Amino acid sequence: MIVVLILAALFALLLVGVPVAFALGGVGLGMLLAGGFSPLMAPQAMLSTLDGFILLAVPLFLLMSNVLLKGGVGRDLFAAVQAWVGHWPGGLAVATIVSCGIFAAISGSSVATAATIGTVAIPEMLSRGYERRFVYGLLAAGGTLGILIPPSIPMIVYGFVAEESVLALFLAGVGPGAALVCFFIVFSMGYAAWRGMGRAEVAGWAERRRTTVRALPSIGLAVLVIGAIYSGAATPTEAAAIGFAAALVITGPLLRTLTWTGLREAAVDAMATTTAILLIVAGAKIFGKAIALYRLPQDIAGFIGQTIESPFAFVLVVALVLLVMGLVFEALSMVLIMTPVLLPAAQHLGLDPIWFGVFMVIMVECALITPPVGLNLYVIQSIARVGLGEVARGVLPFLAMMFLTVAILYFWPDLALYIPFRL
Amino acid sequence: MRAFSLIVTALAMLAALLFVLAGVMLTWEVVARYFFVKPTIWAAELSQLCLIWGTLIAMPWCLRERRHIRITAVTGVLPMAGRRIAEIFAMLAVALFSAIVFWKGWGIFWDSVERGRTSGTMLDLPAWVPEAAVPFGFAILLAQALIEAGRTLRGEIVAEGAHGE
Amino acid sequence: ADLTARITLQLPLKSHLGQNLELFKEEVEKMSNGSIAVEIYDSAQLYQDKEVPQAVGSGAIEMGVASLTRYVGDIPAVDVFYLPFLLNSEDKVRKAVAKGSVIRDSIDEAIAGTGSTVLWWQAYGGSVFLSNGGAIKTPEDMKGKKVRVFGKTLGDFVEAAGGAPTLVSGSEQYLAYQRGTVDIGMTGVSGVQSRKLWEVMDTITVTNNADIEFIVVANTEWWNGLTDEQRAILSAAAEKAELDVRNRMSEIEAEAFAAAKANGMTVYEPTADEIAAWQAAGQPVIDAYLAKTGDLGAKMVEAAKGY
Ligand code: NA
Ligand code: NA
Repeated sequence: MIVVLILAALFALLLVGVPVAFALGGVGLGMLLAGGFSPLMAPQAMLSTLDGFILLAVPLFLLMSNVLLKGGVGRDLFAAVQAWVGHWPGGLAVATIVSCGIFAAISGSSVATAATIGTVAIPEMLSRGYERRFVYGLLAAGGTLGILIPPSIPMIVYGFVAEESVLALFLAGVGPGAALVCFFIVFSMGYAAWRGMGRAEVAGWAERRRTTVRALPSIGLAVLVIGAIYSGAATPTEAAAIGFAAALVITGPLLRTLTWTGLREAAVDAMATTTAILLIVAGAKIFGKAIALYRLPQDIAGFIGQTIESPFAFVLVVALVLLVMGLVFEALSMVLIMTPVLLPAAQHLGLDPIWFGVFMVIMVECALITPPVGLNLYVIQSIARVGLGEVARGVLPFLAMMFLTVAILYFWPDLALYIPFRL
Repeated sequence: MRAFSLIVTALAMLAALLFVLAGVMLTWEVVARYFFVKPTIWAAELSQLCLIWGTLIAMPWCLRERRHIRITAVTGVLPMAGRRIAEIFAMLAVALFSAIVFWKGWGIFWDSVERGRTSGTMLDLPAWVPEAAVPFGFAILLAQALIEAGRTLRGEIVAEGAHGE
Repeated sequence: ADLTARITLQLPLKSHLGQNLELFKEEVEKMSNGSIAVEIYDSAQLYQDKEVPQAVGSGAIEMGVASLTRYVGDIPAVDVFYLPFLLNSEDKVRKAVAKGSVIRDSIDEAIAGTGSTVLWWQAYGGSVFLSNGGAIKTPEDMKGKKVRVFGKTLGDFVEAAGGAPTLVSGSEQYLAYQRGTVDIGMTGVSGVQSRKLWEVMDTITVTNNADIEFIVVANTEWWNGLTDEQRAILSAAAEKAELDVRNRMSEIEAEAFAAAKANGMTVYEPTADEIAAWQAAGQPVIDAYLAKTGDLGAKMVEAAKGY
């Protein structure tokens, strides 16, 4: 009963248009006051959220990818990959996915990945006669690689909430991310061959060399960021800082594509997005404290413990719940609200918390591309100026491949856990 | 009113600068540790301060520019009058939340000032240095939310916000 | 229940501090015939360790568990337990934390000034060094190395000994060692077992360079508002819990050392000469502590040296 009331209040505030951060924080604060708990917890939650070193990675990764976006790195990257694989069957689609994968290794956000690659890839693919629906679906789904392949803002947030190593989460995302890239590529090549969609001409060696040289610094940047994290030379937060500095060097003195105006816009945009994201984290923290004091996670974990005995059934149920939630919830709020509720039950059933984090991130990817609320759908919609329905239908086969990845991940956890713990 | 608007904008630009500054400090930290084996004691803490202050002083601007993430699925299909009522309600909800957080946040800040509490970390800064950001940021957010409610009431068109992530 | 006491804890319930709270809870609920309820909020659901002094002091929550060093911002003298090689044996630690001793009483009294009342102390064990390819026998072995620390005074000590202190949180420890973000680890030995650190480090040097203590505090205003009977029950249960965890700690440490050895770690005990070298290197830290903490610090260091 109390759960229904809380959810009703939360939904009412959200749907009236109260910003997510203040809706979560407000319901949390209301619950504290109604339950006779100290409202001091609200400002305390604000401070302790912003005082987390790991969340400092959020503005830094955003600064890095914004600088690259303003510096036109998406165009260079796509041109280079296209020069190598554009003449394959479905070559442009393959180039799009590979570009998304590489950009995902620099950016921590799905929206940034979809926007950066989408801006250049969509017009190019359409002009070569690719089916519209396929193109939109491909870009919306390809963009979600941004949060599975490290760095990843949702993983940072999960690590913060679950008190798990963000580094381990990052490394655990590599395997499933690579698997998804492979599935997308195989599907695109097959589909393009079947539907007889166009290929680009074979690029000459001069063309290949010219485009590759221009894209090389960005690929180098991806290697630098992942290398710094993987080798232990830097924490994820520090790696984000180095990546930002390196992005400035690449787009400034090296490529000379970043203007002062571009830099200012990149910084202002990173500021706005950081504030929006971190306030949601803080609001969710207030909400999380309130539901903990009402002992709801314990009750739910206890209920799950009594009714569900096998990890398989648990994962299946959670996947369904997250899928349904993901229709209407914004991605980050899902991680924030559900982690404290689900993780204790998951660990009780013997699931690894890092594995569970990767699983949640893939489900969040699904949420990003399911209507009516899916940020990646909106991005593609606004780039391509088409209706939501067309983008959403194109996404279906890619959604199926994400489910396939989840299934493989369940039966073969090492797809995620091999790289962080056994390599 | 104009002066207040300028202050809000200036604070947001300062926040952007603070985040850039955090990036510079942490880059230096890695260089210092990796190449000189001489980690700094200040980079981690000062960059954290940049995050705390930056986020909290950028809030009012984000509200004014509609940069906070919100769900527009329902309000988007309402008739104009309904949309305005929803908007006024939303802004008053933000104002109420801000007022309580300001009030309680001020208590935390003032308690630390009176006790002379310090952070106890490597730099050992006074504890109120980060804590002051909460009452400061939410006081301005409170004012901004009331201004937005007033603007909507007077029928000044309020654009739908962009989605962030 | 007539009264609910909520306790916030950073560690999971299955940790030995969590188990100790469970013991307290059972004891209180039994003695009060259920009229006092104890609710434990573990795994930092409500507060992280560093927030506890402020949260309990302000009355946002009734009770909490904090690492003693978290009070260093209010009371710099609490870091007497982190002064290098000062309380470096179980015997000395037991003398220092005994009720009625100069150190225990001074600290409990000073904490009362922050709006919190100390109910009991929870032992967490001594600090050890972790390394790969040989023990860290003397300050010479630390020169130019990056060392994980978890507090300012420990950082000052590492710096005085010629190392480069780096703050690494508990949850990032494993990978920081595996990836070489730091060369030398510093942790309580029970952490070696719970985090399976033997997978990434091969040697423990049993320095006991610092002693890690946690304290369970209650909001003073709340505490004073209880009836005499309620206070008596809580105090009795606290005393029982304190005794239990202190006695269990030596078993837990012995178990952790055995597990470490069973998993291929070398455990090295420094000689008296080596300890003397560490003490000499750490002297500036003690001097700085004395300069900063005045009479209170001097009184406690004096007492510790007498143990
Ligand atoms: Na990424
Ligand atoms: Na969705």
